[in-house]
Amino acid sequence: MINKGRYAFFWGCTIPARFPFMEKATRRVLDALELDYVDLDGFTCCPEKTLTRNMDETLWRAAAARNVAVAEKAGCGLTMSCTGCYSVLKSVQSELRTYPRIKRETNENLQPLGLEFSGTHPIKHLVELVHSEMGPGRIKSLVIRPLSGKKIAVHTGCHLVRPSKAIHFDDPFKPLKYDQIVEWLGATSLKYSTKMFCCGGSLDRVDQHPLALSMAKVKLDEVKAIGADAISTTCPECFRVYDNNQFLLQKNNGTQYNIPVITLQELMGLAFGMNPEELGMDGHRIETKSFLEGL
Amino acid sequence: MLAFDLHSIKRCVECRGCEQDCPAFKAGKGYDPTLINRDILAGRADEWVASEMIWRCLECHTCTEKCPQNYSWEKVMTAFKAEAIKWSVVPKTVERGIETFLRTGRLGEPRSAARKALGLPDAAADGREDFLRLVEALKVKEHMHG
Repeated sequence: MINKGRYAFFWGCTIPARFPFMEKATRRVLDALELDYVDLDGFTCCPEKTLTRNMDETLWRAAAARNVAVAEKAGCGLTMSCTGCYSVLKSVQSELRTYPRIKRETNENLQPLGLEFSGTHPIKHLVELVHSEMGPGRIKSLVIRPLSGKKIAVHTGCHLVRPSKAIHFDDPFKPLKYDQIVEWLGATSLKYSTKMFCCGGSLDRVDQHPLALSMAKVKLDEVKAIGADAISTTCPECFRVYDNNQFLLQKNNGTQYNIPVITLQELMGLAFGMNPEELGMDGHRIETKSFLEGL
Repeated sequence: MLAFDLHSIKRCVECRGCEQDCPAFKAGKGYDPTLINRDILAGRADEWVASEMIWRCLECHTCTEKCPQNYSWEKVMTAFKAEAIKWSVVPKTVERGIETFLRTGRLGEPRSAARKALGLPDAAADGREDFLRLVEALKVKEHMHG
């Protein structure tokens, strides 16, 4: 057991519903990292902010606080791969820790369910756990197949670092920690100007698919121009955009990018000596073979 | 008449920092929240509630991080979105998403066949019973059409 506390893994909705292979790679890597984590019964959607907060802020806050309270009751902190879940749960935790009145009112709503938010346990994204609790010594010691020569365009994702007043983890415009992990694995993290350009995934959820494709294109164009071997993200929504929407752009006779999207979990798994099949990498729409050559 | 923090909108110093870095502004023509702000100040906010433009805001929080007045386009757009949901003038996918969320407490179900094929354990039980009690207690549905 390497971490100080126990964590419940918060899988969210998108990974189990759309990308169960991401869960597979994540579990393999968590085992290799010897992270003491549990699966808990009783979670709901985090809930996703753009849809549910705009619908009813009180329900949004109560449902998020309820998820945190379920983990607290089991004596656990929370960790996750989805940056959306991370940003929502951290935002609500920060708000309730800061404003006693909102905390009291929210707990009045949770009381009939036998739950209470106290704000005592940490919420840490997987990137944060790997970077800040494990660090370079531990990660480098697990690398048996360094990703030498691989050039990675890290897509941090907006919600891994924002809102910064709740996240307190990395810079909201010039984050570095994800990139450092990639370098510990032996790869190079490329500097590029659209690094913090939003994936635009939410546009697919408001019937603006053509605009979602143009947004994906902005980053894909630059990433192609700088010769990246892969884009890397931990967020299932960003993954969907750069994998599925890239596939759709190519199918519509657009630029044939063929840039694989390799999650941080997959990068770690490969560097730790696992093979692509056991990481579930055959589930991607954009071929990952080009990336695997020469490893 | 829609409620906005008019003082904050008036205090907008038009530094255009949000515009320069807004990914939605860069990616698609026609999205111009400055124009929408002018309409709000002129008392014409209602005209934008049913517009597809308000849904272009990605809620990426770029402008919220940058705004020197501690307001932002995002706060204006989320106020519009909240109103659009009350008026039931939302994109189809949003309508379906809200329906799924209020019925199940989730936005997607675990795929058990795929899990089995990948050798994953059964998904943990979700908390929908508790969630539905919350929805009931907070009278969410009444507020939505109130």
